[in-house]
Amino acid sequence: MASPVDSARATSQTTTAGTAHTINVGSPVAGTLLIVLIRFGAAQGAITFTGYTSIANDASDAGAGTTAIYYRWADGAEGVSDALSTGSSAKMAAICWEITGAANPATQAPQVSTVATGTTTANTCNPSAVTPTGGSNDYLFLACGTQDGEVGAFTGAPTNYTNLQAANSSTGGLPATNVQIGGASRQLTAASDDPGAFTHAAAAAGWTAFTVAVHPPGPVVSTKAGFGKESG
Amino acid sequence: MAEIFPNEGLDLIYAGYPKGATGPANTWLGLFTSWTASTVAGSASVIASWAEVSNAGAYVRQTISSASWGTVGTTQSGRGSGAAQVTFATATAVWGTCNGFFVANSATNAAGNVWYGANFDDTTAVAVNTNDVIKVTPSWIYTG
Repeated sequence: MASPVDSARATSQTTTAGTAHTINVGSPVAGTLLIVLIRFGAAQGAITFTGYTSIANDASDAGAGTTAIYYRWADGAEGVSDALSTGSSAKMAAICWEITGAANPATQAPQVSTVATGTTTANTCNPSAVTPTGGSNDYLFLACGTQDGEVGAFTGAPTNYTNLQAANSSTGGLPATNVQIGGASRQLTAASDDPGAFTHAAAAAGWTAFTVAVHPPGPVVSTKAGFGKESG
Repeated sequence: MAEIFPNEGLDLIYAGYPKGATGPANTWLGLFTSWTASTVAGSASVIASWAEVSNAGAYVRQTISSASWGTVGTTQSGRGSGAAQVTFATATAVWGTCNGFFVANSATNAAGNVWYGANFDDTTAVAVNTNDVIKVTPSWIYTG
């Protein structure tokens, strides 16, 4: 078995507050796991993201918006983007990971840590540990960080994490209506992982972080029969 | 699919009749990676030619007791008997592509005599990777 692979990432942004958002997902082939990290810049109300399943939704930091994480098992019909709507107008930024070699979530969904939150100090956005069910295995861990503001870009991944991907909602309007997000990945055979802090500048009000564990495919059980034949 | 009682397997049968020897209390089931999903060794083959899965990654031959073999019954072309399904241990490393199984007189990897060997009856090889499990139900047929 091998850890799932962080194959590609696509970013999205809504730079003018609205209720209709476009989430770029690349062009995933069937059997690819999509993980979408989103942060909204204001209280966005109800989120409708058809075809995706929520595994995290938290608005407890001092910023105004929500951090949400979704997954989807691609069927190849996604195209390059999917629509997301919110009950109230907000800006947003999103990262979509395309992950190959992952367990089908119908069998084993990705798992997420408890939320970690903080305020405005730079380089403190530090996701909590995640301990997936199933014990030690070949996981792909995703460190996810979000914060409000327009200057606190994510510029460095937690130690041992690579493929840093950042996104933002640009700089229109008041700083606190904008968002900065970052993510990075790590393939690791372990029972859990606890990423360190991202490198980032200060948030306007607060940050939120999660760690996601993506499971490898489950074991294959093959049932076979055969016979020997002695011919006269 | 293909299957064979190589000469050393026929020796076992002839030792029972007409020579009157007692059959083995246990035989052992192994997996081979040589040949193809639809071909097996020839009559003169010995264990070395079956390319058994390496003795690593939790692979070991599995015991089939004589009591595990069912009552001999009529098949479409003679008499036959099957043993209970055998489950190999969960692979802890890659075992490779298995083209079939053999029944031998030794528990030791790559040793002993092969009584008979056969492809899987769906003629589809199995790539056994880490954490995979393979279960095999062996049987054999005498045709008149």
